[in-house]
Amino acid sequence: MEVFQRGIKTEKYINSITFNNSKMALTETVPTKFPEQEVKMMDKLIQRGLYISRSDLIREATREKIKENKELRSDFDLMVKEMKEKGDFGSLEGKVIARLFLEQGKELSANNFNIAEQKVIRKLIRHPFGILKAKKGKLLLTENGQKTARGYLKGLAYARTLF
Amino acid sequence: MPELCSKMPELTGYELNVFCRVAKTIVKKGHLEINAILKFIGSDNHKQDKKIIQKLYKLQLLKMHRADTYELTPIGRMFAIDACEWFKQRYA
Repeated sequence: MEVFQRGIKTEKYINSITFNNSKMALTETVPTKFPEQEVKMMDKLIQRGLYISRSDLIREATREKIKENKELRSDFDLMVKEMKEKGDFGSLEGKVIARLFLEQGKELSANNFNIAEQKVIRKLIRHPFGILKAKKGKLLLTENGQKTARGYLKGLAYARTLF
Repeated sequence: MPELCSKMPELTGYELNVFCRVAKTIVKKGHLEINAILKFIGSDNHKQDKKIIQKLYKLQLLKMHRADTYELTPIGRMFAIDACEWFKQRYA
C-alpha cells in the first residue's frame, strides 16, 4: 500500500507483480468432480473455519496423500495401513481365526470361546467363502480359512514394525 | 479334511488373479464402481471379469458401499494378503 501511494516506486511494485505472475504460471488448474455429499461435507469444514476454501482443503489433502505415499514403500504397506485404519486387527473375526489357526492341534470346540466369539464362529461357519467347518463339535479351518488366518497374522506382525 | 476341501469354494488361477488386481485397485483408489474397477485393472474381457467380480461379491470378499461401489471386506483383505504375493513384493 505504501509503495503504491508513492508514485516513484510504482514501477517496482509492478515488477513484483510480474514476478509473481511468472511464479503462478507454474501452477496448473485441475478440474475435478466431487459427489454432492462430499461437497456438502467440505463446506461444513470450511464453515467451521478449518479451511479457507474448498481449494485450500483439496490442496492440503492432496499434499498429505502425496507425503503418505512417499513414506509407504509398497502396496503391501498400503494394505496393512488400511487394515489398521479399519480396525481389522482388533476385530473378533480376526482374533478367532488366528486362535483357531495357532491352536490347530488342540481341536478347539465352540465351548472354548466366550459368547461374543461364539456368535462370530456361527457367522464364520455360515460364511459363503467357507472359512470354518464344525465337525463332530470340533472347529476346523478350511484351506481358505487357513489362508485368511495367515493373512491376518502376517498383516498384524508387519503392522507392528510399520507403525 | 478331503471332505472339507471338496465342498469349499475355491479361488484359483485367473479368478485369483482378478481378485488380486481388484484388491490392489481398491486399496490404492478406495471404493469404486464396477466399471471403474474393470477399467483400472486393465480388463480385456469385461463380461468375464464382471462375472468374477460378482462371484467375489457373493463369496463376501467384496461388499457394496453406497449401493453401487465395491469395497473389500475384512475377510477379503486378510485373504488378499496371503493369497496375492504382496508379502514377497513388500520391498519392491
